[in-house]
Amino acid sequence: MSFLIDWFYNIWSYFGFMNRNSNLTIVGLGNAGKTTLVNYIVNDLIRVYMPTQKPNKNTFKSGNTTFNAFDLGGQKILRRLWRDYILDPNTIIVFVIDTADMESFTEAKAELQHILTSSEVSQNPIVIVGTKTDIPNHLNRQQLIQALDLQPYMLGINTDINSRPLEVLTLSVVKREGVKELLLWLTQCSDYCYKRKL
Amino acid sequence: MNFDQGEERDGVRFSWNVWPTSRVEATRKLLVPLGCMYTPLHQNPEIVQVPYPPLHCKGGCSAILNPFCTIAPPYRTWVCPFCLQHNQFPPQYAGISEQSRPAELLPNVTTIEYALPTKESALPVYLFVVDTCLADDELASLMDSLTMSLSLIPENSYVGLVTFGSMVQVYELGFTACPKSYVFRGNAPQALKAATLIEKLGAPETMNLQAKRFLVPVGECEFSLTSIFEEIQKDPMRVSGDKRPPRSTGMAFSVATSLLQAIAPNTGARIMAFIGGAATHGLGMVVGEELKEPIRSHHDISRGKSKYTNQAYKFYKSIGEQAISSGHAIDIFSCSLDQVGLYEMREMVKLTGGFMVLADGFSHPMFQQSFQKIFSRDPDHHFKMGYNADIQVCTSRYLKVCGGIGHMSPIPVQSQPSTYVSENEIGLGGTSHWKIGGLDQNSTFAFYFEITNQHTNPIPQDQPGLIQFITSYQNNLGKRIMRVTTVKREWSDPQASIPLLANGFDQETSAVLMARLAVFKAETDELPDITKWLDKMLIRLVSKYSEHRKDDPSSFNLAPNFSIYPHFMFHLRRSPFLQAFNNSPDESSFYRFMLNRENVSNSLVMIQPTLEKYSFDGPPTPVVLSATSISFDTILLLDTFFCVLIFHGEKIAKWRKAGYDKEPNYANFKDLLLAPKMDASHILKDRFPYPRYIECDQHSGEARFLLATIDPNITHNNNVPQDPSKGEVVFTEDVNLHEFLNHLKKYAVQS
Repeated sequence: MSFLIDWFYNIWSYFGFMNRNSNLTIVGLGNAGKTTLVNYIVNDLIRVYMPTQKPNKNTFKSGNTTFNAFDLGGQKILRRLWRDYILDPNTIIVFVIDTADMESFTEAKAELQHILTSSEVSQNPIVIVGTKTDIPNHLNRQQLIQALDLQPYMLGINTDINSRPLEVLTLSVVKREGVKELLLWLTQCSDYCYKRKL
Repeated sequence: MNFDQGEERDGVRFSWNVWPTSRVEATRKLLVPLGCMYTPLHQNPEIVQVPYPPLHCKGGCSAILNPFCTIAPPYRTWVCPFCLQHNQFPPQYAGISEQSRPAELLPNVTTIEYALPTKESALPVYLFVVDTCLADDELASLMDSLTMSLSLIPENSYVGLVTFGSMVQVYELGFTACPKSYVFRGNAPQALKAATLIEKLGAPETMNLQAKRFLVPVGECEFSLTSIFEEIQKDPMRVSGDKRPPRSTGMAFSVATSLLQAIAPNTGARIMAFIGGAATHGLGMVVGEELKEPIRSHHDISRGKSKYTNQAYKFYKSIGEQAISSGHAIDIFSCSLDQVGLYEMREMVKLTGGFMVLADGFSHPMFQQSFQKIFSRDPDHHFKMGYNADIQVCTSRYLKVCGGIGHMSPIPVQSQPSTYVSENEIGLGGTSHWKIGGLDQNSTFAFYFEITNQHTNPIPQDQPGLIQFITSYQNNLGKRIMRVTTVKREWSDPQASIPLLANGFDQETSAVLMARLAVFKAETDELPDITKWLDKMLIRLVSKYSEHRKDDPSSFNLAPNFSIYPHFMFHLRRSPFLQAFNNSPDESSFYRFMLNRENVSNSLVMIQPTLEKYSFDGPPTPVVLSATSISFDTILLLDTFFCVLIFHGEKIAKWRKAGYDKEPNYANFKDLLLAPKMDASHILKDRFPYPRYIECDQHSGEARFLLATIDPNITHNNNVPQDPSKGEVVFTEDVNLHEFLNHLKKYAVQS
């Protein structure tokens, strides 16, 4: 039977019935690589940008899902805006962190803890994206999980309604590595959010 | 040719300084439009001021007596060089001789100011429009700035106050017993007309400046206004955590504009609006109150998916039209981390010649310093400001005005078609007469012209190419002044030979005129199309004016007065004026606004920022804007007009962190650190609006202001062996200047 269900599913998506929208809010400290990542996903181009000031929206499609990605500035004064952009429990929070910048790691960790423990956004899915793995002496995924004290958390997209989807991924835009995996996770997560219907 | 000289004297620069004599030649050979950048309040101590009114030509034209008019003994008549009409001199001009001429006929007096005999107006009026939906600390900062401004405004200048939140309040400052205000609904279905406002405020006989009811001289209301500022409260409406506060920004502008229209029509006045968040309530709203609904992006706008944009844009535009019809300017101080709706409101400021300031908040120096500068740079009224102005352009009979681009409103041509107006519109066209609510020394207007003479019609020797700009304005003291600038340019030979035309090419002015056109097109066209158009125009220009052998790119050579024009175009294509990514619609609107306002040299800084190098090897020197200019042992000073940045190379930063500058043995290091700071402070002092000022180190996050601006000629892809004194690797796949020029050469020499 399952092939029949798949067949219907494919026909539906072909005609656009399965298309859905999902919101992403991209946060992280300044210079973590947020805008560069978005630009690479949207325009397939690597470029240096000035520090983001006002929030920007960009749109890209992955699978059947159209993602509206809100790229927020990471400088200290701008972080108070983050909250305004993650109020919807189905908004996926993409927390970008520079895996090679040890100097600001503690600050980044504190900001992440702040989001993880905030009751206002307790149900939002979060994906922690470690960038710049092309730079020597970066933290790999395991080291990142440890350094961020994420061991107690259940990683992955769970069907348990009480735990939020949470994942840690690493990538390098310059080497064009790891972005596909991020998109795959985002698509799966948006499917899950669609089904859980909060 | 020295183009700066004309700018120094008259405040005008042309793209082409030698003109072809026929339309055919002009179309074929002027591959940058014939145009000029004119600064009506350009300051030069040599500009002559006379206490009498000007002498107008009695023919059909509105031109004014000038040094290019033909006069001959016995000096009883003058011939207007624009319409060839013979005019009688009036009796007060008797006694002209070869030796004695009135100032306006002296050959070097091409710019002159006349005092017009109209009644003096009141001093400029300031109407503050204040957002009260602010966080407490932001509101307090704003009130501090406003209170401070009262001590800077001349005491017989009129001020007024309107506040807004969920409702709009108009303060009756003339009522001093206690603060008294009239309240208007923020979500009224229609804009408030001046007549309705008068009805609601009662006592129509008091709706004038003499009654001192809503607009009162600062000297008489400073005390009560200061106490209102002290007691002003945050908007009383309670806002839940998932909502934006209700801001009736649109209604506030409508009330303020109608109030000025009712009380001070055709008197210099500016509405100064202080906005701390998005318009969410009533007319002119740009986003709903729910935070879940995000404010529109470039992407939404270009796909027609932004719900409120069109309606809000039309609404604010109509407010701008209403304000300029009574000669008033509208300023916006947008002070918020997120967007407030500048994109929708921009036309209101552009049409009226107001100021636009974009800052992170009211406690940020970008707001505080900018606001203060408007008043404090003019302690003795030396800084020229103009209010309720208009500008008229007259041209020789062989050319016509296509239009203008700048912060002004076209005045439609009355009755018969004007002899000066071309059918071929560029920018705000269809007229040769524009109205301007507010002017200052930097306000610069681009005008575009068309040679209309037929090929078969030779231009007589004694008829030079002339253009006259007639600007009338109210000055700071309430006097009406008329400034007349008449400029002459040479005609080329009938064949319009390329070397002659090329000699008169001003690449800087040309780049700015093209940039203004590109930004004007950005109002309606898609950005990639504009870039393509710029490329096409550039290729056509250099292929006509370069020396080259067909199909041989290596033979390509440009004369010095063309050679950096392609560099300007390269940086313009990459600039925030034409790139939307990583810029919100509000930011794009602000950047384009500033390009639309400044003179040639400031516009060039915006297009191609300047970079200065400080090192132990010698005095500071300008360096090319490229990755190769970065070195670990030097300091760089970047000026993008919007941002002034000091960049310490890695080694310098290390020494500084080690505190070497504090040791007496390293006094020269201390001096090296100090030099760029001194230079930066000079830039900050003169710049309006006050730029973002940053001090940063190599490899830091803020260094991206520099890395994103420079020509990326060293990247992670071109494997340049890295020597830290010879540049920094930029992680980019962007085209660099070298590749851009190579492509240009290839296309330019193609047969």
